[in-house]
Amino acid sequence: MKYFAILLLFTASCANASESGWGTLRGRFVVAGSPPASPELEPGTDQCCIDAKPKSQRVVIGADGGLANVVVYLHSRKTPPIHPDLAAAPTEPVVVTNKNCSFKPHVSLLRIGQELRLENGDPTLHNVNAALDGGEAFNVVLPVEGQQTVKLTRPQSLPAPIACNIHKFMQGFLVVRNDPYMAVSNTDGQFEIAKLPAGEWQFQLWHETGYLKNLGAEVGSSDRRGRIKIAIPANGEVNLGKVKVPAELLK
Amino acid sequence: MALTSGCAREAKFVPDEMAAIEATPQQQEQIAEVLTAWFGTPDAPKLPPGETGLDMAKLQLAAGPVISNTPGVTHGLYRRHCARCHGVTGDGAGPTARFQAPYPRDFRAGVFKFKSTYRGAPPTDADLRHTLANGLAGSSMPSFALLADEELDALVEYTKYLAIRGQFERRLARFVTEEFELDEVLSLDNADTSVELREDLLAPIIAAWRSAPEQVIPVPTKPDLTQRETIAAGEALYHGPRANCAKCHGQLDPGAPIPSELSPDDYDDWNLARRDFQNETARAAERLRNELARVTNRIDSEHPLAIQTAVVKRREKIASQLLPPRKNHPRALAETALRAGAKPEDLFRRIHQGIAGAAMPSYGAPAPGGVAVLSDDEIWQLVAYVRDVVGANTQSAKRTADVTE
Ligand code: HEC
Ligand code: HEC
Repeated sequence: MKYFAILLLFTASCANASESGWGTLRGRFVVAGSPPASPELEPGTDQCCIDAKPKSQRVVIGADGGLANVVVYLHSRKTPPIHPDLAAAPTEPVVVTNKNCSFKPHVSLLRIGQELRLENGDPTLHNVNAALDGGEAFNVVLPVEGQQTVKLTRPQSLPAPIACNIHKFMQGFLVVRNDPYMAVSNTDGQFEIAKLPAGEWQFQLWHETGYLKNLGAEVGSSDRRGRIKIAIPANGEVNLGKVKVPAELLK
Repeated sequence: MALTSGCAREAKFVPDEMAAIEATPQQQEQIAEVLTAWFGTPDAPKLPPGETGLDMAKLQLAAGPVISNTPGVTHGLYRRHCARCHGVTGDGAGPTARFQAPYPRDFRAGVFKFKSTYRGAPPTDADLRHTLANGLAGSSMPSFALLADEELDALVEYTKYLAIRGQFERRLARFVTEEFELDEVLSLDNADTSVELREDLLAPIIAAWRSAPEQVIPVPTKPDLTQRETIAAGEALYHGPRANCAKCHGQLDPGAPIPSELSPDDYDDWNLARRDFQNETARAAERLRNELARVTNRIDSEHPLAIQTAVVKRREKIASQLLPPRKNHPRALAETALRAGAKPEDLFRRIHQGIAGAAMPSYGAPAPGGVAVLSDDEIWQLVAYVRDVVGANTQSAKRTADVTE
C-alpha cells in the first residue's frame, strides 16, 4: 500500500518530455450557451438527395450538449516517440462513403501510410474534391457504385475540407497526420487518445468553425490558436473533464 | 509609354496577405525577409538554395523594368507583356485584372488548368509554352506567338519562378502560422529553421516541377474520331450514369437548363478562397462585436480581444481590396470556345484528369496505377462527341488553328 502511494507520487512529478512511458488523454466537449440552429439544406434535383433531407453538419450537438466532430491532435513539429503497438500505420484503409448525399464519416482521420478509399453508396454521380495542401489536392469522379483509392504522402497542418461539386451542400473534412495521435469527438462530445508518449505536449483543438481558442480546461486553457499544453503521465491518464465550448465560437 | 512604366519607382513583390493572416505582424515581416533572401526582387531575381533547375540568364531577360540596350534584345519581358494582367508578383491581380472574366491566373498556387500532366503535378515547359503560343480562347489571355523563341523561353522560365516563389510563400505562411509558437521568431540565421525550410518546404515544390515531364499522361493510339458510332457512344456516355457529364455541362438540348442554372454556385479554387476569406472575415467581425459588447472593464493591448480587433481590422482591409469572387461555371460546350483548344490528345488528357483547381473531376486514374472510372476507349469516344458538339469536325470550328489535328 505504502509502496503504491510512492509510485503514484513519482508518476505525477515526472511528467516531462524526457520521461519514458505512455499515457492517455480523454475528455468531453460540451456547448455552453444556446447553439446555432442546424439549417436544412437545399438538396438540389436528385431524388436520393431530396429523400435524405440533408441538414447542415457544421455544428452537431448530442444529448446533454456534447459537441461532436471536435478534432484533437498532438501538435509537435518533431515526430513524437510512437508506442510500439502503433509503430506501423494500420493496414486497413480509411473509408469515406458518399451516402444519403453526405460524407460518412463527416470527419475522417488518416495517418500517412494508410490508404484513403472513397466509395459511392448513392444512386447518383458524386465527385470528391479535396482541398489538400502541398500538391496533394485531388478531385475524382465517383459514379454509382464507384470506388477510388488515393495515396497521400504529406501530412496536413490543419484538417482539410472535402466537397462534392455536384451537390454543393455536401461538406466533410480529412485530418492527415504523420503520427497516430489524433481523435475526433463522438456525438456525446467524448474523445480519447491512448498510448501517448509521456511528457509535456501541446495539443491542437479544432472544430470546423475554427480554432477552439481560449477554452478553459482543468489542466490549463487553450491559446488563441486553440493549442493547449498538457502533461501526459506515464502509465496514467489525463481527463480534461467537461471542456466548455462557448456557443458564440460555433456561430 | 507602356515601355517605360515601372521604371519610375522600384517594383516590389506584394505579400500574400490572405495566406499569412493568422501570423503575427512581426512574423509576416520575417516571412517577407526570407522570401527576399531566397528569391530576390522583381528587378534582381535570385535562385533559392538547392538545384532549382531554373536558368538565371533566362530569368534576367524576363525580369526587371523594360529596357532595350542592345538592338533586338529586350529585357523586362514579363513587365512588358504580362504584368498588367498577372501582376508583378504573379498574383493575378494586375491593374487590368478587375475587369476580366475569368480573372488572369494567380500563379502563386502553383496550379495550372490546361496542361498534359497528372492533375496534382505542375505543367511541363511545353505546356506553358503552348498556352503562351495559343492564348486561351474565350478569356483575355492573348497569344504571344509573335515573340521570338528565346523570349518565350524566358517568359516560361519566369512564370515558373513566380509560381515556385508563390508556392513557397504560402507553405511558409502556413508553416509559421500552424507550427510556430505565437512569439517564435522566423530567421534564416537559425540553422535548424533554415534546413527545415529548405528540405521540408522548398525541396518538394522544386522536385515536383523538375519531375513534371515524367508525369505526362500517355495518350494511346487515336481511333477515327469522325466515325458516327464512336460519336454516338460518346454521346451515350455523356448522358449516361457513369460519365454523366450532363450533370454539370447540361443536356445540350435547346431549352434544357444551361450549366450556370444547373450549378449556380460554382467557384474555382482561387475564387473560392476569396469568397471563404470574405465570409470568414464577416463572421470574425460579428463575433468580435458580440464579445466586445459583453466586456465591461478596460481592455489593454495584450488582451485577447485587443489582438482579435487588430486581426479583424487587417482582415477587413484585405477583404475590401480583393478581386470580387467570380463564379466559374462548367462550360456550355455547344456555345463557347474551348479555352485550350480541341486537339484530340489535349481533350483526351482534359477528360482523363479533369481541370486542376476547378470543379471538373478526373475520370482516368488520378495517379499512375490508380483506378480509372472510364477506359481509354471510352475517353476517346467522349473526345469524339465533344469535338462533334463544338464543331471541330466541320468548317465552323471556333479555332481553326488549334482544332486541326
Ligand atoms: C490581357 C490580359 C492577359 C495578359 C496580357 C496575359 N495573360 Fe495570361 N492569362 C490571362 C487570363 C484571363 C488567364 C486565365 C484564363 C482562364 O482561366 O481560362 C490567363 C492564364 C494564364 C496562364 C495559365 C494557364 C493554365 O494552364 O492555367 C499562364 C501560364 C499565363 N496566363 C501566362 C501569361 C504570360 C507568361 C503572359 C505574358 C507573356 C500573360 N499570361 C499575359 C490574361 C492575360
Ligand atoms: C462536377 C462538374 C463537372 C463534371 C461532372 C464535368 N465537368 Fe467538364 N467542366 C467543369 C467545369 C467547372 C469546367 C470549367 C473549368 C475551367 O475552365 O475552370 C469544365 C470544363 C470542361 C471542358 C472545357 C475545357 C476547355 O479547354 O475549355 C470540357 C471539354 C469538359 N469540361 C468536358 C467534360 C466532359 C466530357 C465531362 C464528362 C466526362 C465533364 N466535362 C464532366 C465541370 C464538370
